[in-house]
Amino acid sequence: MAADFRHEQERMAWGLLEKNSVVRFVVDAYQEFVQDLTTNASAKGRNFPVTQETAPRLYRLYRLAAERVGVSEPVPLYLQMEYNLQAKTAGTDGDCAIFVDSACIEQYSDTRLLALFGHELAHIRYGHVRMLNINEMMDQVLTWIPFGGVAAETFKATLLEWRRFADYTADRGAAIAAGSADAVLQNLSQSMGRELDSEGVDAVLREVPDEKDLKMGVTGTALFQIMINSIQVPYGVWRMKQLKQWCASETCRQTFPTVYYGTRSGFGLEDADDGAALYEQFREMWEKNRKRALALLHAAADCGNMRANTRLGRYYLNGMDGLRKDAHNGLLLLRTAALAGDPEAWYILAGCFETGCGSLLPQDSERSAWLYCLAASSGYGEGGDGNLRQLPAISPKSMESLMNWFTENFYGGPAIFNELAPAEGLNSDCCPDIDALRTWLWIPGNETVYMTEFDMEQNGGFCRAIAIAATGIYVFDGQGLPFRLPWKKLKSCRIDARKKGERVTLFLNEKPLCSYNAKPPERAVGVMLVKIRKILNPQKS
Amino acid sequence: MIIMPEQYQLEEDSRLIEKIVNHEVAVKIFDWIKSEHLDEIYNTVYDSSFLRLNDTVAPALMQQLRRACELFGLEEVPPVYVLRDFDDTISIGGISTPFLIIADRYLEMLERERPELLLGVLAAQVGAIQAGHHRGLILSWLLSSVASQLPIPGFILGALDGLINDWKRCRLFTCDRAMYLAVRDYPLALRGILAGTVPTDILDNMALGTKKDAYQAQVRTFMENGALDGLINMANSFLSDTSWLPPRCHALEEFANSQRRVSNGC
Repeated sequence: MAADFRHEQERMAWGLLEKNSVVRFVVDAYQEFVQDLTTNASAKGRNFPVTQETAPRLYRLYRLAAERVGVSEPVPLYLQMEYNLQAKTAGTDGDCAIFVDSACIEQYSDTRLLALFGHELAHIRYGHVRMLNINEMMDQVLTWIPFGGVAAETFKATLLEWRRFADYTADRGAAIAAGSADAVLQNLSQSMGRELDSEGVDAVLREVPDEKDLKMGVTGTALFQIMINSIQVPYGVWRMKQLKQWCASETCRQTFPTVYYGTRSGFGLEDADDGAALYEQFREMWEKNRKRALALLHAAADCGNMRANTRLGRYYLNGMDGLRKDAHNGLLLLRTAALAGDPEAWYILAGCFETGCGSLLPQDSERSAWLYCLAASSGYGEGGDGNLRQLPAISPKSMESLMNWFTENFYGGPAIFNELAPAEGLNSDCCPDIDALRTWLWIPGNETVYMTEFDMEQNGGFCRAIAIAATGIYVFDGQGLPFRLPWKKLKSCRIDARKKGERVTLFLNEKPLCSYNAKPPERAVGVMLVKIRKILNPQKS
Repeated sequence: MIIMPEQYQLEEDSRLIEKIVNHEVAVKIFDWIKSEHLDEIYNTVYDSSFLRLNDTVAPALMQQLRRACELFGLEEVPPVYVLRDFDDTISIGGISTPFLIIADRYLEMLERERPELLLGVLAAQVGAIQAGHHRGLILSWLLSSVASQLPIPGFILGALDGLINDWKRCRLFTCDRAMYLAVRDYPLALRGILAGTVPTDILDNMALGTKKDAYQAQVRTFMENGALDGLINMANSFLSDTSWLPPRCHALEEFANSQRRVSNGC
């Protein structure tokens, strides 16, 4: 569970709300009202659900945001056809859904989407959903209050005050999800009418008077509420100011160092995009200015520099002076570096798999050996390629007959099979992405790959990949780490697909490994695996 | 040479705004605003929730705004806030200290146009401020948004409301004249009236203010059919408190012609 990031004033305002008897009455009435109505259900019915199958990239980002914010079971996510660049959580605590305007998907980068999701997930984490929706329905809600008048007005005022601070909390959640305040500030400013870079944000905030509690009478309060409730992004400027202050604070540095150092505008690094150069600057700065050095390292990692990801991952995994231990974040960074093919990252992860890493990474001696072997084959650490030699392989002759069987039985079989001898396996002439795939799936350099199926992301990574290689199957299902099943451990294999073009689920040893929309010819890899299983153990097939 | 309100303010506008701000109900409302410190609350809402533009984030706008203020003798450059909105264009807010509110789409469109058009649009607002329009507009807003909070019975507010509606139907003629005097370019001023209501490429094709002006026929038809005096148009105008485009264009043409006669010494 992520550390607490609740805004101090929100905590106090929430306490006042909870003690208010009118609030309790309204909440109970609201709960009954929402459960009776089908508003939430109909909203879900007319909008587009985001799932692993329908929108894998979005879903992955959503799950990542939930992980970072500390929401273990994220609620359903829907896209709605709107152009307001907003997201909203509808329903009540315990039964809600997030609705995101479709324009966000078109206009926002991954980081900004993380920020958008993080904001809503933070509201969910801290149980804000009910109160936010009560605020939306205020006119109706007021009719429920039996004595109306002063009680109602006090309730409105207390709720409005709490709402301001609730958004301060949620903005922190957004920054934590995105790993930076910059994305949150961009989202906020764009939704207020003008997307600002960091210079623009500073220029605007410089002229904003400090927040103050206004002394308002009944009329002033009413006017304030009428105005604030008509604004699309209430308190937007104050929210920006609060977030900037928090992200630059010592509290943030101690508790959420990824946000502190990841907010590049705080260090004047917002325009830097050369990861290698940033990494070099980090090395030079290390002894002179530790804070700045860490900021440079974070920026380099953010730019995708492999060495930076490994170094930072190691720092977070072990903790160090100036960086709180954060095994979860460390493993994520190492994962990024490992998927990019950094031998040091493989070596460190091998060690993690050897001993296990608490609940985050179970002990896995098979994976540990595999990764040690990989690292050693790239000259890092020891381990040689003995691991690979011990694994039985499908003979080239068997593979050749398999390929022939496949092309005979499946019209329009992959052209690659017609162009090379199976013994050679795939190369970059017939499969341009094979080298990247081998790196991604951690396939040792000397192992032949015969067949693949994969989907790539826009940034060049893989959101799903399967490879049939000489010693086994290599799989990446879009999350976590690659998985290898040596042929000797393949006991059963089946595919689950009823109709042409339907989504296929691949089961290995009766465990669902991954689901994908099979490309023509359908179920190619799955079919091959079933055949291989029969070859390896015809009696058990 | 500073452009004074007497040079561009429509007589009807001048008469009505004077009547409005001196109306006993309006005087009561302004006193009430002061006693409840509503000015501070109103400004706090804007400061807390709207982005205020400056030289860093909107340099072209700020430059033209300063020019407009110089032209009309407005010493203090009013703040400008941006609003995310598809329909709105630009308006004046503020109680004791007026400010401008500009819609993001409208601003983006103006920033793509010639700087003189931006100057003209801003000059229209600055001219309106100098003519006292911000007082009428805040009264209009209060009557429509917070009437229930006002310490005055509804049936009494009705009289002031009626006056304000009449005034709002003629105030834009003043703004258009101010725009013309700032840019001294009749086709450009016409473009300023229609910008934001039609797409830019259609505006280009309309060739406004030239011999091939594609909008003039429409204006003539409207005016020949009795303009706002026609029964149907009168009835429709009661349902709206905004000046209509054809009369505005027609009025601007007459004003521009009169200005040319003045400068030619006729």
